[in-house]
Amino acid sequence: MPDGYSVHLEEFKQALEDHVDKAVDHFSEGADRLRPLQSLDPGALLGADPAGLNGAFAMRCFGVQSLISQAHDQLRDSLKALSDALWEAYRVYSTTEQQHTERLRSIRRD
Amino acid sequence: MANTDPRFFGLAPEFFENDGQRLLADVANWADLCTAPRGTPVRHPESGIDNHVPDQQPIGGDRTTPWDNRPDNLPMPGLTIDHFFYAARALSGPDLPAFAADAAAHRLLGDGLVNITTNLTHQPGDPNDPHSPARQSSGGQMGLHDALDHLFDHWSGPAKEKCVEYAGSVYDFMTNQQEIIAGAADALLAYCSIILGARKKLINLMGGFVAAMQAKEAEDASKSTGFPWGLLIGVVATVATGGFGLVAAVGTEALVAAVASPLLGVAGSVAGAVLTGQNSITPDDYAAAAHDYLTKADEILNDAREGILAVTKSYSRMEAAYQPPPPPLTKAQFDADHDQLEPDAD
Repeated sequence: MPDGYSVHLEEFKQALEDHVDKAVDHFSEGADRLRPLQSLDPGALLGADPAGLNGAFAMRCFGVQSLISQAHDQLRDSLKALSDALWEAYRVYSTTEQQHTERLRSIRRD
Repeated sequence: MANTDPRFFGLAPEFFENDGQRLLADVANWADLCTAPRGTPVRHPESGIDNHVPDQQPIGGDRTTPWDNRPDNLPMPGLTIDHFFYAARALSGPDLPAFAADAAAHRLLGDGLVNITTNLTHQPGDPNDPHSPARQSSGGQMGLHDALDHLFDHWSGPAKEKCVEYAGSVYDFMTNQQEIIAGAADALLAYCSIILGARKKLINLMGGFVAAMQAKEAEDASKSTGFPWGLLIGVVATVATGGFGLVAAVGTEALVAAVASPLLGVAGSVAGAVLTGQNSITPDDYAAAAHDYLTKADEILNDAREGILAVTKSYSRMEAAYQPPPPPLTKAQFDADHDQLEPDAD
């Protein structure tokens, strides 16, 4: 790949724009849709429970539903951090490439 | 039919369907016959009950004292009419229509499951073709996976490895979530099916009880009224062996169809399926029939308890199987590695 250096950086940037950032949006939306699970306590739907049938069910059900929602919030945060890190990497690599190019030009000039 | 009888306030709607109020009144009236103190009038002509026969022995003047015509083993000691409705009240608490509402958990889980499955069933792109559909598509899980897999093509170093590893971790997280969300949605369906099934079984039992009492009253001891009697635990077995469709649904279309099914409609079908088998209350004796009814009502309650317990335990399995999303790759990690980032030698 003789002159593929900058081309790949462009692809890198394109991939961030087309997929990584859009994935952040996509999964943020998914996390938003699941977030109400954290406030939908099934215990509120169970009414009187004279025989003690439902208490443990409600607790565990709510726990798992909350876990699901929190997990998707965590995924969104993780993807956001990944996106930030990759964009930072892109900036660093662009600078590195620029330095390489400058060095090559300097060598040729010399 | 709206409930207007204060004795039945708080009972679930199913108990009032199909002339259920009449059935409840009959149960209460026969329970009254079984529990009212001796000498108390128990007169419910609408149910064909009247325990008082005027004694022919005059007590002064033309007065007569009422004579309780019930068998000697009535009233049943320690029982009140409320005991005959304990199981119905115990099963009436859950607001099943609220479980099925558009903004309820089952719907949210179903929609989330469809979203994840749609993401996972997109085919990854051809790594050699930058114009392949998945590589062109935006926002989906496979687009992300594909992009991360190829982000560092022709480059080397730890950053590339970490990106590929991260992509794999997101994929694993999504497949794990697919399983857990399907399990959680199915658990809600199982719970509703158990409650609904138990209510229906109890209504059938009430019908059997009233029929047995009427048969005894008509002195037709040969009439034995059967009523469906299946174990609710069958519902739990269904959950344990693959759920009601969400866990088992593989393709997105099947999944969308399963999620689109009304929760209570599916729960009703499952509940109906467990109403199999026959049992009967034998009308040998009023007290025996009442005892049989109370015992079997307890069994329905215990079956429901076992079923709900099994559903509750299924949440433990989901928690145990849970895999968290990958921790983020930080700027510091890339900063630390960027010196190693070099084009491949080829």
